[in-house]
Amino acid sequence: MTLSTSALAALTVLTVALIVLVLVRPAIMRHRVGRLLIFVVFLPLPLLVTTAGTQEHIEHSKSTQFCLSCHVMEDYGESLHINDSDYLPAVHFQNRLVSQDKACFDCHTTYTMYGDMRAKLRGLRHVWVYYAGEIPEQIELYEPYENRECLHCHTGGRRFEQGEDHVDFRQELESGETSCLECHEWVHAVDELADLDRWEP
Amino acid sequence: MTRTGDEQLVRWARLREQMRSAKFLRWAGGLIGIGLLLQVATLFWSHPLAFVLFLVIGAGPVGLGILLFLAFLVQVPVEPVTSTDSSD
Repeated sequence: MTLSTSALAALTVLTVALIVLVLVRPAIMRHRVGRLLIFVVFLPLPLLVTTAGTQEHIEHSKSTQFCLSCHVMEDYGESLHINDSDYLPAVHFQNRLVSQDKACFDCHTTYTMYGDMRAKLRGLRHVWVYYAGEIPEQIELYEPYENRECLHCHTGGRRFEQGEDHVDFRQELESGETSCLECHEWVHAVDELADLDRWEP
Repeated sequence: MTRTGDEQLVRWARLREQMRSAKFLRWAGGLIGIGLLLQVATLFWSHPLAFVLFLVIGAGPVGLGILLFLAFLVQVPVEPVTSTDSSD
């Protein structure tokens, strides 16, 4: 629980307490200050708390813990611990090239609720399928993984800028004509997890 | 009908209007309060379902309560302010 969550929870409880006060003492409506209080606790405060709560949930949803809370994602979380530096998600996670607390979001920035409206609706559909539908055996991205997800961090980085292959393919990589994953092809490898060593931090 | 009778009728009508407004306010307060409590409960759960519940069972009643409150504002009779503040 973060400080902002606690502060928001406290503000929400205070708002509810003020609403209760207004309801048990309607006589305060006769005074100007009382009317002002009623207005504040019935309109701006609930709107503020709800907006802040939405923001808080969006922040929560960027966390690795949030993504891995669905059991179908557990193997993907496990793949972050593969003890082999050829596996991209593992090497990024273990060397803190991405934030360990937001590992999924750092590399999948347009997934479900972070993407456009269609992506958000897909996110809602995922929740529906998780509880009421049939989860597919093989989980796949809706669209091919975009180079943009790599380049927004690696562009300007020494290893990327001075890497021979990167220099040769720079145009193709930037235009998306050549995918980064054509060379860096080992990613989550959830089907091979049983045969791979696990890194224990 | 006497003048006193007219005044009595006006007073009853105003009282009935006030009771109706108070009912609106109670419903609005109840919905907003329940919605906010449900919202705060979901804040401590980091799960996709928590966000859906926040929006549906939390923000839904709050939105409805705010609409009722706005309806209350439109209906509430204007009364003279009884503040003792000298600036009034």
